[in-house]
Amino acid sequence: MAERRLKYPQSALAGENLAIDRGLAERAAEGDRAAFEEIYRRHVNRVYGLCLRLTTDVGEAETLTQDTFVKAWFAMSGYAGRGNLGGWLGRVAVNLWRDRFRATARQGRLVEEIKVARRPDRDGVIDLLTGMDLERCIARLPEGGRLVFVFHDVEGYTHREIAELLDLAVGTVKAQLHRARRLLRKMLAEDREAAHGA
Amino acid sequence: MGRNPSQNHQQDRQLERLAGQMRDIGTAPDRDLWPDIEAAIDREEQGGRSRLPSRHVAGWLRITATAAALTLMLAAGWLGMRSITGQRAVPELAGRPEAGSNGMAVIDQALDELTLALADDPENRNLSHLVLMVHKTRGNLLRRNSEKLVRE
Repeated sequence: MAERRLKYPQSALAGENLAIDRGLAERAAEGDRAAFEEIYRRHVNRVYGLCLRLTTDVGEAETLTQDTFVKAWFAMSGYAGRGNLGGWLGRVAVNLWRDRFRATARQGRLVEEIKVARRPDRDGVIDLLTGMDLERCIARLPEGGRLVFVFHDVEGYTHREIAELLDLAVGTVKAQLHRARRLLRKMLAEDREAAHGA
Repeated sequence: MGRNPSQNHQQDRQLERLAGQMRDIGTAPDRDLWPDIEAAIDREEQGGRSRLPSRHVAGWLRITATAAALTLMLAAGWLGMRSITGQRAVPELAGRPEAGSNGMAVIDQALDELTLALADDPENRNLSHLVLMVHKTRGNLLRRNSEKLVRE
């Protein structure tokens, strides 16, 4: 299977990290718990960040993160050094989240329209944007837009993959993404205005 | 101030770039989750859960899961065909508890096998797609059974 598209060129450091991950994964697949703990230490922030963006709830995100690593321990041989270990763990997390998401029949909410106030976009909104600003704004997005934005812009999924994952039409995914970005620009403009006014 | 598509596009690229960086940096949980993870692994292992076998055996698992899902899809397709031809196959199925529960058991078994295979190979889009199809089939069967019950 083709590797997931890479948004950014792989640096020498990334290559080194990949080699370390593969070594740890091999040891963990043979039952080395210390190696698996090292994998946890190296990737917990990435996995927890993803879980938090998907659930927007600290408790649920902690549970999903724990379950992801437990599942990964029992399925470690499935990784076998293919691709990026962080990406593989992210997939495990998304699969677990999807099962629960579907089980609670919340998918109907995905088609909710994102209500965007009809105010013009501001110029230079994200000049001073930081990851923290964006994280906060993502959490405020309506569920449908948040999920599509997280999967596409944060995790690098394609429109088609998101459509399959969330059981939506590709056109709906594109529209949700467009609206989510528009809403983010608006939120960031308001935040900036508030910061300047303070 | 009017909209500026070019500027919006540029800002979207900035958003995407920042979002990618955000993914790599991640977010640290408020507490160390490892003790709970280790305890959960110990509990599962004591409860008899075993780790996935080697890739050679895992490959056979995937084949089994795919075969189970394909069988299910063929069966579902057959039921659908009968339904279309007016033979009311699904209501018949729903009217016979043993047949309905057997159908659901087959679906649940296929889901179990597919989930196991997907845990082994989470990047496999074909498997992911099959899981989605089986979920849909399960939902359709449940809905039809419910409709039948309401009619009665």
